[in-house]
Amino acid sequence: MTQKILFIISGLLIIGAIIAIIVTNKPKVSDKLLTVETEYNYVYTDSKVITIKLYANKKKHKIHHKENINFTFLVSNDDNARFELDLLDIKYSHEEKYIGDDYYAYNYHFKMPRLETNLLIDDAYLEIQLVDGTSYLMAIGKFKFLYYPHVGVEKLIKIDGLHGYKLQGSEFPRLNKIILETNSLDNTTIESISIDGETNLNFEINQNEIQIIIPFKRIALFQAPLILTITKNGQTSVQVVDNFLFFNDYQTLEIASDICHLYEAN
Amino acid sequence: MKKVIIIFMFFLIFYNIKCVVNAGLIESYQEINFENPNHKFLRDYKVEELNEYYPKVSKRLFIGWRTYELTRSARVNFTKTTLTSIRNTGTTPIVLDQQVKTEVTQKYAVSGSGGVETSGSGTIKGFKLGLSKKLNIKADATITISQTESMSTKIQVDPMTQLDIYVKGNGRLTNGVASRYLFWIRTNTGGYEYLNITSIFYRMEKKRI
Repeated sequence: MTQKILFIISGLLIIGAIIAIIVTNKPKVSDKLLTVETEYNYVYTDSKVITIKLYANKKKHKIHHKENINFTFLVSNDDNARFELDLLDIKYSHEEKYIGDDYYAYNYHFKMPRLETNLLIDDAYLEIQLVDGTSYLMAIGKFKFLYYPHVGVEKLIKIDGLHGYKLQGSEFPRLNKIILETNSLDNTTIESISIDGETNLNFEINQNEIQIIIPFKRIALFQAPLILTITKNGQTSVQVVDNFLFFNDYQTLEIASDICHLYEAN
Repeated sequence: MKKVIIIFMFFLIFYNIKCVVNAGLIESYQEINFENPNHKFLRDYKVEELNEYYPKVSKRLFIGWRTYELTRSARVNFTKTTLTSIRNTGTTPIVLDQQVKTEVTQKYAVSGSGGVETSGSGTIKGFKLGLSKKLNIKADATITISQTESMSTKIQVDPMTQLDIYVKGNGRLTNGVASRYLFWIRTNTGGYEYLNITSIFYRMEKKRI
């Protein structure tokens, strides 16, 4: 009888030990943050909110809580440009898969700063400093802050419709074509169109519809303003269509894994 | 007693084999179309057509679902909803920051027919009896639809003009037939269909009122 009891107890102990070994040897998943190379062009308005998407492999990572964040900076790779960004809020967006793992996307909303001149950061980083002293520096892509008067005011042409497409047959998260519909282009010449204040884009006019082509590059582009130089009745002037979000993607990490940056974030 | 068990077994086997296709993909998705018109939605299959595919899922299992895909991850376009409408009935143009509502919706939209039932807690819908897991669908995965998710956009709305923001989308649709087995007995048979939303496009239009 005693032998039987001892046998059962030893059996239970061995099973318990095996379970303990399995549990303790379970590989610990380290915290990771992920960013996607994105082209950000923003024209200033007093209410403009800029949004940067951050992914994490944990839904409740400390970086996603606004109260944990001390400072946020937009920094250039060479450290020549460094601006503090005023964080407004952090909102959960969706979840995606990246190399078989679940990642959770959060939108970080910042107030667009009022600067004296246009700002271009070709190789931009977002630096987030937490109250516990941890600091994260993550590559986010290309940033442009542009300053024009009368953004959104339709002083030369009326905007009747606005939408955009990706490159036909491609799921890469980049805007390729913008369709701008107007009520009339009589006595009007469109001199140039740009989304970054610098590069003139190719466009075609079909009656009252302007089709604007954005060249393909391996960098995401979801939203853009339109800076139009227009001659109407002999006078040339600039009209700015405010930033418009043309699309949102929910599979960016799968389709564009080559433009993702992965960071350890323990 | 034996007779009772045999009758009960026959009842189990045949109870769920009859299937009526009443799928109709997720009601909130209007104008959903395949990019390749050769594909078919579950609702477009006649009962007799689906019956032809059930032998593909007739091999018995101890427990779980057996599935057979009719359409695999085919590209679809859809119109979901009008996100916002702003009317200027005044006499002067207004330049306003868009006040666009935010909508949270499921990343995977599901639909079932026959013995494949959709269910879930609250507004979240998935497939019943573990089919979501078998199909690798996360019923609770959500996406946020909002034009103002990224910015506030200043847009001019002229007098007697209405501004609308529409939402159109792209996704991947998979459908097929499935049978569930419990102790090698077929308990459920039907069609399943799910849509994985991959992109949401926003379109602004103004019209005179």
